[in-house]
Amino acid sequence: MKEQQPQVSKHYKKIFGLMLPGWMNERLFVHLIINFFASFALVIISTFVIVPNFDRINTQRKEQKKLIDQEKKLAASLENLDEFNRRVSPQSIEAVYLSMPTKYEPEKILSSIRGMTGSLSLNIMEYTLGGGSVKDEEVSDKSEKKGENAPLTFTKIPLKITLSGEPSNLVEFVDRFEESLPYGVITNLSMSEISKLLNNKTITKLELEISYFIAKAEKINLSIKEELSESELELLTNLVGYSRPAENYVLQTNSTSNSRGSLFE
Amino acid sequence: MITILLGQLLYLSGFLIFYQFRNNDLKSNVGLLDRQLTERKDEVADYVVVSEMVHKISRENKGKYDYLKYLSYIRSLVPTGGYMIGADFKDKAIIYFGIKTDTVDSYRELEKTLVGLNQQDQAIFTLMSLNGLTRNTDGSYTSKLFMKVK
Repeated sequence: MKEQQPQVSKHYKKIFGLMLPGWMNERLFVHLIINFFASFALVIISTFVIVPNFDRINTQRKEQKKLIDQEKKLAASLENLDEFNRRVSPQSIEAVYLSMPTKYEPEKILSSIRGMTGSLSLNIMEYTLGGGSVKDEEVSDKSEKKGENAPLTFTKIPLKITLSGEPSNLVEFVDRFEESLPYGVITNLSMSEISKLLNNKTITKLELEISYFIAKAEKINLSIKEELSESELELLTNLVGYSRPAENYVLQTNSTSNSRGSLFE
Repeated sequence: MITILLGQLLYLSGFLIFYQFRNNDLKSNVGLLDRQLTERKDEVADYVVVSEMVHKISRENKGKYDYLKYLSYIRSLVPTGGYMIGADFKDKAIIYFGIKTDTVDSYRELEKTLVGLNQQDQAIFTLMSLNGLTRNTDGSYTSKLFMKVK
């Protein structure tokens, strides 16, 4: 028996099971279909394989930027370090450490003050030296770094001192104090006449409030972030010329065997 | 479409290979510099500590009160035959000082200087109050005044 073919009109064609108009080019239609599916496959590959990998480029680009920054910082750190070694003498470094001790050293402060008052014939009437005590007073100003990244913290050591002597010597004391180590800042100053001596010389009282500083090292990072300015390098050089406290100010005593006083009468 | 896809593939692989090489190069450089700094860690610690201290000193110096400048300025106000009996710098702003003069004439000279102080451009203080002529038992005259740093 002859198999019955489906009856398709002259005006229609059946391609891929679709009834299409008879005038349609079969070959062109097949190409269109193939191209459509190929394009679809390419879009899928592009969308799900290639485009997501563009993020990897961005990640690599960011990493490169980070590495370049890191390289620049480290190179600058080494450069600063070489410059520092070239321009700053060991004497300057020593002077800086002396200007801001890393622990409470009252003997250096007192030795410095006594040295200046002695040479200017001034009397120390009274003094109070704080610090090294129960609660440290940390000091910072607006431009100071705070928090975990601060390599140093500064603690204030207050000194209140009253001196007496001739006015010109007192003024000279203030002048010399400005260039003495350890480094201190006069926060309050008061001068008043006490008496006039027979030879017409005036005795004046000078009350001073001074702040010294202790620098405590925190976490020191290997990367050098800030370089020293020209004025700071000059300051470093100048510090060498500042007057220093006497070396052996503290008496060396054998406290137990040769005690010199008694606690009670 | 294939061209676009190939272009994308070329772009992707090209950049990935470039960044891979460049980043490896940078990493080795950073490692080398880091090792160099680690070897010199004592010097770095010195640098960091010293520079922080110098920054601090420099900042303190900037905010420092130049007492000598102010004292010498006050001294310049004292008339011939007179002298300063006291000066008190409070909170780095208000300054009290007293001036003693031996004669009325020198007192008047001082008074003229002080009264005209606020008009002077070069004056570093502004006169806040003037406690005028006080005659002392020894025949001298005292003037006490408060001034504010300009």
